[in-house]
Amino acid sequence: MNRRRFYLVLVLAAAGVACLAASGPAVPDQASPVGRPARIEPDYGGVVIPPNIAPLNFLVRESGSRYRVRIASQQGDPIRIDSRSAKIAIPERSWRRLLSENRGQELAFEVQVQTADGWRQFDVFRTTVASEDIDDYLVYRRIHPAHSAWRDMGIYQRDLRTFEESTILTNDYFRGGCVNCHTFCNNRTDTMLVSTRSGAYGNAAVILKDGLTEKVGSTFGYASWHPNGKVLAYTSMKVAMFLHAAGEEVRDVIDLNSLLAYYDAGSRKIKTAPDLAKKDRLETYPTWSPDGRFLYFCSAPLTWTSRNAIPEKYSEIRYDLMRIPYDPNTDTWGQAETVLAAQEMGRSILLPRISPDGRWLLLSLCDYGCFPVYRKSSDLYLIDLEAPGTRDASEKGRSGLYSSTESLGSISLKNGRDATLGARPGFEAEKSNQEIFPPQSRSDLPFSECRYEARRLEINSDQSESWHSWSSNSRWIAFSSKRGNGTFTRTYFSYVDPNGVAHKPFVLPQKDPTHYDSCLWTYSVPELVTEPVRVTKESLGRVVRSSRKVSVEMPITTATPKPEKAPEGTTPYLAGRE
Amino acid sequence: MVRSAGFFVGACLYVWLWVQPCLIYSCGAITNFPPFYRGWSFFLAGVQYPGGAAQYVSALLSQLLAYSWAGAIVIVAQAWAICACTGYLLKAVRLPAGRLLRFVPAILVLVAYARYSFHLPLFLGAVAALAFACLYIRLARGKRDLGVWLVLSAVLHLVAGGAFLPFVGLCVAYEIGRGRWTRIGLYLLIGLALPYVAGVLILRVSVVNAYTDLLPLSWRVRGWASREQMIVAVYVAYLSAFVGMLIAGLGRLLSARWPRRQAGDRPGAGWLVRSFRRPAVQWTLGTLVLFAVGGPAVVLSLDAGQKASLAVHCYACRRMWPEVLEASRDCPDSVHVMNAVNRALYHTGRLSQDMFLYAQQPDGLLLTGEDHNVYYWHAFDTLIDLGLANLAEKNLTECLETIGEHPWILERLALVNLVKGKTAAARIYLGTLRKTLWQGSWAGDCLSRLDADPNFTGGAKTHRLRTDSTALFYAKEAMLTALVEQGDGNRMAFEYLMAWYLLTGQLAKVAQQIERLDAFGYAEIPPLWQEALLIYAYGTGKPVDLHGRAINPVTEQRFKHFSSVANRHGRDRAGAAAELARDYRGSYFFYYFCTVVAKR
Repeated sequence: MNRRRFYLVLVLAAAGVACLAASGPAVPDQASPVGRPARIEPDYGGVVIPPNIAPLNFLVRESGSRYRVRIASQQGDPIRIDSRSAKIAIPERSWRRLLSENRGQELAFEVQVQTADGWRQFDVFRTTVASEDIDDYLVYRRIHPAHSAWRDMGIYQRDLRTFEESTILTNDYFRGGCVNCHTFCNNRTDTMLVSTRSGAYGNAAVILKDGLTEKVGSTFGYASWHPNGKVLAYTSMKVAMFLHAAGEEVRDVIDLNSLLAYYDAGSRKIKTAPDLAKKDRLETYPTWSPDGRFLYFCSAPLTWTSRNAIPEKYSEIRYDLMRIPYDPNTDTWGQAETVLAAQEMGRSILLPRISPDGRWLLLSLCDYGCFPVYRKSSDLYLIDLEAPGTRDASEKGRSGLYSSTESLGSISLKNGRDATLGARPGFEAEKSNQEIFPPQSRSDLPFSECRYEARRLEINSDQSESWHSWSSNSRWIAFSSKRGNGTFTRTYFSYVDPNGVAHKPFVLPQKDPTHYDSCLWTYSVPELVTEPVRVTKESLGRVVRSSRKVSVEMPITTATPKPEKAPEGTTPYLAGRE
Repeated sequence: MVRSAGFFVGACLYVWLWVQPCLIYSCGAITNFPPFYRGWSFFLAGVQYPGGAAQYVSALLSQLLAYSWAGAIVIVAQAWAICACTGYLLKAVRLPAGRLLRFVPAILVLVAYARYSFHLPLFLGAVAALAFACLYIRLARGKRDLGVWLVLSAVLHLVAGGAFLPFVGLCVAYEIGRGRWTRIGLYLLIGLALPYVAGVLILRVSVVNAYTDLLPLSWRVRGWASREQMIVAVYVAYLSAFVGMLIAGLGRLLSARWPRRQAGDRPGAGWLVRSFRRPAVQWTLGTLVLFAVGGPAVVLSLDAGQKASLAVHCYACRRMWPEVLEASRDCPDSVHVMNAVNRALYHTGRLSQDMFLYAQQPDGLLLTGEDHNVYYWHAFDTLIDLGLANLAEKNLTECLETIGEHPWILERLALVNLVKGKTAAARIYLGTLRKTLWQGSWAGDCLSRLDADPNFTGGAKTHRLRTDSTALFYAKEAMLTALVEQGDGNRMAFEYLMAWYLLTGQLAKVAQQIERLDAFGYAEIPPLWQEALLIYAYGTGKPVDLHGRAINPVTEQRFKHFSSVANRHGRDRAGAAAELARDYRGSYFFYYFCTVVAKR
């Protein structure tokens, strides 16, 4: 081709492009205003998002033949999307740039839809970009909303900066067993626990620590790593599922018996303490304070004798929030004390999780029982551990139980024994308990004088909220919610500002914004972690299948305290539970 | 060619009209029936692991089983492909009996479907392995054979996963006959390494899956009774060609080591032998053997009892009531069939009139799923119809986990959520259903209706149990009583409660319930209830308030005659039953005499 012909082709091509551009739809500037924001799904209007989140692709639920979206903020070039589909896919690179340049700023989404009558301009909806990142990864379990049978389940991790989901472990790796209860230490993945149940390979707790993955021949229920990564507190329980003949949720769960124990990763032994395993109490949901000096947990009175039948008054079981001091240096425990009484709240207090900065205690409160994900009434509550009030004189006069301001849902710390920490029985007399176990509150108030307020968070819906976790910087929470459908749990994120205000949550973004419209999975137990789980699923699968395991013995059974015997019939979790 | 065409056309007609693949499509006992969804996401999710492409194609082909004619084509096409490939391979190694032997795996494929087992993905894997082995033999010429083999291996492992290993075996068997030992060693080495490298290291699937997916050895097959049924057919599909090639190869090696006698040494063949060697005679004899052995083998293998049970299930799921009642005649007595029959009788207005014309026992009236048997899930439709939405939801969710995302199960889960008023959850099931091949338009219509009427107020009137009690969940009588006492005119619950009383011989309760006839709009007392009232009144001597209704004099006369015959036989109940059966089979008198009285 000679040069003249080349230029001719070039000019013709340019002219063609220009013609095509000119023959396009009317210029959106001429769009007629609609006077309301466009209906979009998922609902991202007014949410606060992390600056490192994946693009918030959304579906415009407005009929039209063409869609234009402009996303703009104070800094950087706006993102313009022109689409014939109502599914708006935001380019990842431009999105990342826009967010990183506009931390703490608002993003404005302008939506225009072309209809037979021309372009329609919807009101702008806005989201706010927080200054603080969310942890880069989210680990969750995916399972169908099963009752007692299951088919496919697995633990997956999602890079929140992108749409990439990868498998940590699925039940494919051990012939269709059950995998759950993933627990991390300090939002990191170098120390973690995954529990498995398998007809072919037995039940096991797979522990990853110090680069080694090993199988412990025991089953660990709800668990929590001590911040030092050496002690894993967990629940051992005899759990039963029962079913409701009527009502929205069919399933219900009860722990017919439970206790707390802890696995010492150094000595590879299982231990417990008297106050963690009381015969007349049901202890569960352990969680460590970030400084490692207290183990918070939930406890309810055990009022029935049969360990095999659902008690008639199952709907009256309500759990208190307790805590017990622990000295990791000497491996000694103090005496458990009630932090928050179910009787005061009139609700069952479950799933305590403390923010890594130690300031916020996030809880699920529901009408009764131990399994909030099956209770529609389950809501998230927040306690500011740094802002305790004092009890008034009349409250001090009562022994132990202090009333709360019901309307506010305020909570009083209860010290049933009305004793100072140093006077607790069962501790080594020569040690100063006050030094070993100082009050956790950073206020100057003695623990027995503290009175905290639990706020019901604004982010709750009319459906169950549960399985919450904190980001490592204490600014973000991830939680499971059944909002919008009542059956399938989805993961939501909410920004918790320094004042403890949780902002409008948003659902885990998916590349296909209609993903959740036909998604039969439930996304449960979302745990935020700062790094990916690096051990491969092949390695984990190999460990699960391996006959090599650490043999451990439970110091007591949940039924009758017989030393040196493995607990009989204790199942740490039910297969189908979410 | 003519023989094959005749055989497979006949097989196609047989499968279409007798086996009826639509029964396989709806069979609840098949727990590995693959779901298929339209759209790129399902395709991409499927094809990115070894064997995913074959799984995708088999999922698509499996949906065709919903229509018997299309299913028959799919099944027979598989059988034909296995036959053709086996024939080609046996011909390549010059096995003398190859022409007829190739039909053996095809016949077993047909037998497997005639026994209502489902191995479509595995058979597809076998087709892929055999077809690639044929390609290898066809393309591998001279020095390029290794390159061809490597390319075929890589593609086959990606497409058909573990089915790659039988391909290696077939190639090795072929090369044995050629005595190429270096190639054999190389193929075995690469064959063992490739699934690990490509499957585990690159495509990141588990070791077990990399080597066994789409093979009958897979953990997804072994240990599951329903999935192991007729699994021998899959083994035969692989082994027929492999064993044939191995025998031919070894035979060739041995014959090379011990050379044949010279032609001149061969003793002269007789007339009969010469006649048999003529191609026309061989063809005729082969055809006769094929149709005389293969045909009956396929036809006689049909599991008639299973077919009838599946037909009842299929028709009950489709609410085809006359067909349910007709198909139940050929069924062995089972609670699932009874359940379907009673539901069909209720919906045709005959429950309180004709229920004892069919086999009955109390357990069949209402199946709660407490026994965790979810295979015949039409029984859970009865729960939806009655208003036991939570029980239905629980069981259908169990079905979803056990059987998989079968469109009919998704449809029911959507329905039960609509009944419960959980329209948002129903939308998710409908959203999934919309991506299926056959239920897509129905789901789309439902979603459009939900868009127009978000609370689904315009839906058909449904009943729903309102009393919550954990003790109530599996208690049949208590649930039915609660439904009746709710007072929302649940006529089905009332008839089922009365049927329960009849089946369990609780005649006093039948008499008590007569007061509810007005509330449920009965002008007369239904015949079976009249019979029960007569037994109760004459048996106890207590008066029964009929609330303005009367007992048919003919019924009373029949009762007296029945009693006289029964009394005449005294303690010879068997003799009495034999005589009474002539005139009273199908009456409650007879059921009561043979069950309740017999137990005394």
